[in-house]
Amino acid sequence: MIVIIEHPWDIIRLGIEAAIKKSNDLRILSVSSISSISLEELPKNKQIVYLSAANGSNFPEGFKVTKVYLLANNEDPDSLRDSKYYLSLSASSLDIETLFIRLSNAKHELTDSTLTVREIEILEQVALGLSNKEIADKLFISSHTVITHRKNITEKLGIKSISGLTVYAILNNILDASQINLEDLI
Amino acid sequence: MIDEYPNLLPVLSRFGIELGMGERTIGQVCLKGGINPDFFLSILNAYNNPEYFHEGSFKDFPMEDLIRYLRETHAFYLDYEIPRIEELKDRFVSSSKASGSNMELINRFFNRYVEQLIEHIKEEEDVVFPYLLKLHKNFLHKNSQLAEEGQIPNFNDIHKSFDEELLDIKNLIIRYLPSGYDKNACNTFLIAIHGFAKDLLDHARIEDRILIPMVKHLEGGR
Repeated sequence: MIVIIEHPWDIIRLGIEAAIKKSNDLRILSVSSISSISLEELPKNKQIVYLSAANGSNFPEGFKVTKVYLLANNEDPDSLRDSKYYLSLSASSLDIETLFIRLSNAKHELTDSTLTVREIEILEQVALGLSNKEIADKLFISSHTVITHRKNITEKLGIKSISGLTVYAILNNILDASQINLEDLI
Repeated sequence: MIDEYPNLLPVLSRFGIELGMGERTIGQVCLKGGINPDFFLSILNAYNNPEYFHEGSFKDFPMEDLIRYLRETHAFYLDYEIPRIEELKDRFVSSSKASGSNMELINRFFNRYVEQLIEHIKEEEDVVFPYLLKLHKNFLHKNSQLAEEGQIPNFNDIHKSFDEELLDIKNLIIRYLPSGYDKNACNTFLIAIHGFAKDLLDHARIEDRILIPMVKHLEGGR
């Protein structure tokens, strides 16, 4: 896996780099701007994890890029439309480790799900069996927001029932089968 | 009619009507089978047309015939259709060469769905239908012991959730199952689910749009 950390501040880049160095098999590129990398020279057969606060992803065709947004403290994950992953700048090193474990496990990243970050979070809670109210309380949002997200999820995935969503979550590594009591939900 | 709507073939069978009726009219076929033609047409319409609502009153609808029809349908599902689809599912699942944990998940999901469906059908058979027949009898004999409301679970919601789950299974297989299984086994299974889902939906509509209004009419006492 190749990790590109793009942020204007050295201190942020050093911090993230230190947190993820524990994982092996990572090649880390730490830059203040993506333009200083000659993208064409990157291998196309390896997964590229691109951490940046900037919008969009400027990679040419053919690269396996997973974009991870670097969110400032006042930014809301709900506003992210086109990325599944985010890292808050106030994240702990455990959060960072967890993120990278998820990234390494995730398969079919780019072709499948079009779900946003928030939608995946909510899908996870639905699959774990929480009610709308419980999800709202857990994520500090309103029930109405939860319901809206669920409608969007159903529309995007074409899956309506809770059991169906649970199966989807497991198939796509959003949940591990060990996290739920299979007898209950499926 | 059969030409244009071959999906009505099983419906005819559930009325006990055999093929080979030659040139006979609907009226004649009904007469021969001892079936109320008005009722017969209502069922056919409800089955075939999602928008159909019975216009007239339910006053003279033959409750026993309706229950008998529904029981025939359930027998068809329990004795024929569900086992048939389970067999297709087994063939599909065992055709998977991949180390099947994904396939196993789908297998479990489907099995549980079938379990719940069978339970629901049995509840209708053992609890709901006898209650309705009793209600009807009381009503006919102008028995002043009126029924309590709300004895019947909310069928609409229950049926809707069964429909959703079956279609979810179909979608999960079509969209999200990674490769490694026999495509013919898969397609045959999917086509069978598709047909079954449609039949279930149409059957549920008869329960929702004819049976339940009849019950309300009877529970209302008039």
